[in-house]
Amino acid sequence: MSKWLVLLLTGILSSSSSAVLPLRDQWRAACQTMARGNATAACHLFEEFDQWYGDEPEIREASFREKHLRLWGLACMQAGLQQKGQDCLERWLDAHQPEARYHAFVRFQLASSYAFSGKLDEAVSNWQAFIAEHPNLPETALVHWKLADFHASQSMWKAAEPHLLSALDHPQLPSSGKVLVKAALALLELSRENNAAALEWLGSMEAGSQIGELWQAILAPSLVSSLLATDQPADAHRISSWFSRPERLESILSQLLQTGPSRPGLRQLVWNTHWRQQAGMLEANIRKSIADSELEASQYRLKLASLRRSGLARHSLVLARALLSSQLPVAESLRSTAYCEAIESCHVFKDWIQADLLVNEFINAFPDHPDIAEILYLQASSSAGRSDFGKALLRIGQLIDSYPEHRLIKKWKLSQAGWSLESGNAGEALRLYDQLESICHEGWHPFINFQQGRCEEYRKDQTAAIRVYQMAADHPASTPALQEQALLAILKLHLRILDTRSFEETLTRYRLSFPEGLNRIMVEILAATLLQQTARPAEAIKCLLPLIDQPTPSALQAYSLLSDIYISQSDNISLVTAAKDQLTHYLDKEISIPERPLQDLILAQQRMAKHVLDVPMLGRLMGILNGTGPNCPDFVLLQLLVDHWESYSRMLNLTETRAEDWLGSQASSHLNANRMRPYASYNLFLADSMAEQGRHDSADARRIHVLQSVKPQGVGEHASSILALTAASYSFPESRSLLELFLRRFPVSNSRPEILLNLATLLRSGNADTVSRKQLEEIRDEWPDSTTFPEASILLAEWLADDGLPEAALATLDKLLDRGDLGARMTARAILLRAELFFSSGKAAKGIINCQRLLQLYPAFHDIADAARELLNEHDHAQTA
Amino acid sequence: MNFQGRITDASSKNLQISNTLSGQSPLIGIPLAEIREIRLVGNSPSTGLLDELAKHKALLPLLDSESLERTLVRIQQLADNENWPELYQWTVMLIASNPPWEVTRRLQLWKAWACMEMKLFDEVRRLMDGLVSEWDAMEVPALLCWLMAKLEIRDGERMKALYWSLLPSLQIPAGNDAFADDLVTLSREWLSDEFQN
Repeated sequence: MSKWLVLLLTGILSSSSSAVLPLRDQWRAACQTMARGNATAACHLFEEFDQWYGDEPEIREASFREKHLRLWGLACMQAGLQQKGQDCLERWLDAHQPEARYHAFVRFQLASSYAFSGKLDEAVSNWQAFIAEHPNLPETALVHWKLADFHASQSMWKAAEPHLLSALDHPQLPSSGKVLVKAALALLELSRENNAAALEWLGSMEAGSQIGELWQAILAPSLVSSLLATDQPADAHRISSWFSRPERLESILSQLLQTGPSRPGLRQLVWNTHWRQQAGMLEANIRKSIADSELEASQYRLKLASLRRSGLARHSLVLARALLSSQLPVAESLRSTAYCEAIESCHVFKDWIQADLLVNEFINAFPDHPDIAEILYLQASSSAGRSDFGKALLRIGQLIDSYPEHRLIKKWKLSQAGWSLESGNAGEALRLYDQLESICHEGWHPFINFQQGRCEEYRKDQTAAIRVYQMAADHPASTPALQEQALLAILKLHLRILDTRSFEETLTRYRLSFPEGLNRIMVEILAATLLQQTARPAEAIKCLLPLIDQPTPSALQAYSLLSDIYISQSDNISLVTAAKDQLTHYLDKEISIPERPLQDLILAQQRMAKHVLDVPMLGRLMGILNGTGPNCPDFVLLQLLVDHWESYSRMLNLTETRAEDWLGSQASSHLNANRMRPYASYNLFLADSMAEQGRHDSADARRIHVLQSVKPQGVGEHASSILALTAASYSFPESRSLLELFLRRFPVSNSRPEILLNLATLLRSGNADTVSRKQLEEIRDEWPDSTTFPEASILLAEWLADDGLPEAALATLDKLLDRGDLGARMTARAILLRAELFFSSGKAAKGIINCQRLLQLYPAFHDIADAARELLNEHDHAQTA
Repeated sequence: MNFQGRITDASSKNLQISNTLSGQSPLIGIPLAEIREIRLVGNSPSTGLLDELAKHKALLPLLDSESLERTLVRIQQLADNENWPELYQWTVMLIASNPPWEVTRRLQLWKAWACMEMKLFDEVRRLMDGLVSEWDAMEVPALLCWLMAKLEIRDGERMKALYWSLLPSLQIPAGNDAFADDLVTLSREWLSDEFQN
């Protein structure tokens, strides 16, 4: 704007006026005084000029009048005589159209003068007029901004927003200006508590923009707090990446203030002034943030909370560990928080050992910490989590005794009762729940009744269990979900004792009360089971058929029952139809295909001695094998095809009529096309076929090739187990990671015991004694029906004996020998080991009895019998000596 | 006393400079033991500075902080250009000149990076063991995390690799260089594996 002023002065000083001298002298004196910067004197001279010569015709002429009013008005404003200046410029504007030279400048000066003198309504109307009259000038963006500031200062957010948006959209606003406008928009949205919109504005700031980084850092802590308070942890986590440290904010700010835009040229003065205002606001906010001595610690607290609540327990654990190892003052102040986070994260991963270690460290470091009781509860939970209920109950008992008045005492007692039940002590659990019923609020009673029902069920008192489940279902404070659970439990009990009448009564109640219940399919499956068990298969089928039209786990359970009925009735046609329908549901929804319908089709093919797939279904299943559909148990599907390959190869118009040729060529073509998952499936299936034919070397060569070619994460369950076991059998360096990967990926796989056994052996060879025993203990405790159980139990007993734990070894052997179907040789090995343990622990009589029993029952196993005789001889020699 | 000139020789115990200031003799020899510090002036093309310094290694311990920083910028460009053998040589030379502790730490990290790229894994492990203990966990740079993650992946230490790959994104302020970006991608892969599990 000042540039216009200078141009104007130049024009006037060089103009040749033909007025009489005194008039001309007076005019020149006023203009020169103003050019010298003496606005007050100039103002006085302009006023005198107006008084003396204002009525002269020459002065009333339009072009001179324009100069006169404009310069006089500006001089008055510079001299602080706002009212007089405003009058001059108003008169000037009345006489000129927007297209006139200096119009925008005069309008801007007038609006600014009104704003300066507190006449805000006049200022606003002039700014609005400026926008309407000069929409394309660069200064229009600034005027929009000023209007937005004005409305925001009155908390008129709705009126402010469109002006900021117009400023942002203005083509002549530079990128640094856009960042500032976005910050203003974010602040506006925060003021009207619209966090989502504020986030959007802050997130849209250009990466690398210093102003953007500063505003993001300033606003992030309060935004994250607010997002957490409104249960939006994922957004909170995202925004927490904007957190910064005071020293960084300080450094960016000082760079910014040093290099802040100082635009050259007089016209840019208004911009530079505006920039200084904005920078001042930014600086004030940063200074406030930096002055907050708790800022850094509170940011880490917010970060940990947003990680945990977003379900990012692995991230939370990493941050907690880093804080625990850090020596920075901020980390020191966060020790207890970091411990709590790390312990809870370990719980999420069921890393109970690590959780226990952390709890112990915490207790040693902070014995008097206010959170110690909650940490001790986590310690007890860790024990319960790893099924060490003895320790869990001991710890929770001590905790309850130490803090009887704690605010969480009822929660602890509920856990105590639950763990008692889990540990098999249903009587004690029942006693605790009875106590809780008397001290807990009425609202808790249905839940406690339900748990009492579980206790009674465990105690095999089904009548009592039904009674308390009924109480849970009938209680006025019971939730629909709990009512459903209770009715389901009652139905199961009626089914167990085949109380048809009561079952049907409860079933009717359930169907009437919960026609869309969460457990509806499960209840109908129970109804069908009852019908099947009471020799009414047709009704059972009728009950099940409507349940299996969805690809869900409960529908699959219904399907399994239905196919059991078809199999028992030898109704192969219906079996095939139902299995194919199931497959279609999964294929249509592109959901991983379950094994059961494929197994049923294999069985149907065997029974009917012919292929069962039609061409369309065959095509869809082939697509899956070649990696263009949902996941499926590849090996079962291949078995289905290979069993009747002659027919299927004809249907597919393939030249490879021998299954082995087809498998080999498929493996090669997928390998060449770098499709590793189907390659692994075909090649490993072919390897299994070769192994069945006794071609073990060829089979292993194929397995090793797959092992070297594919990423272990990319193959399915069966292939993954084959690869891990192959690596282990050849002692490849990656065998441990492959075995561990399988255990992590497939925690409930039937191959788990075999993988555990291999991993245990591998770890034992690396002297990881305790860890290796854990693998075998899992087989002993969790997989007693697996084929690996006997071998694992013998090995575990040997290792326990070697590790100086003979009692535990004997207990393991007892559990093994209790199993009825143990083979003769395995029984002999177990008895021999038991004898050795008795002798070594000084219980010679028991050792002798075991040796004699072994020699009597299993003399044919010469190696074992010889070892028993050797033991007896050694004992005799020792006695003689 | 200050002298300014073009270095002609620094191979013996004396520094020879050809003088450019008026009022001083055109050729000056100064015993190196008498020099407190040397400031490099003038604009060298990106590698020119290193070429010049390579001719006068005896001067490295005498560089003032500004000149040392300029030299470090040039050395970092060797990494940008993936010139790993030369990066290795320069880190060794500068570390031998006994620079301040923070600079040594930075150079050790670049040295480890060069070793990693040249597949000298045992040397990387040895260097990293020392470096990890020198940095506070909340302040470790993303490059250190990147190197550690790569090492742990190589050694099959899945959980340790995950720790290093997640750490920069959890620091305040979060790491935002190319290494931090790479680690975010890496950690996503690890975590998606875990998710599959």
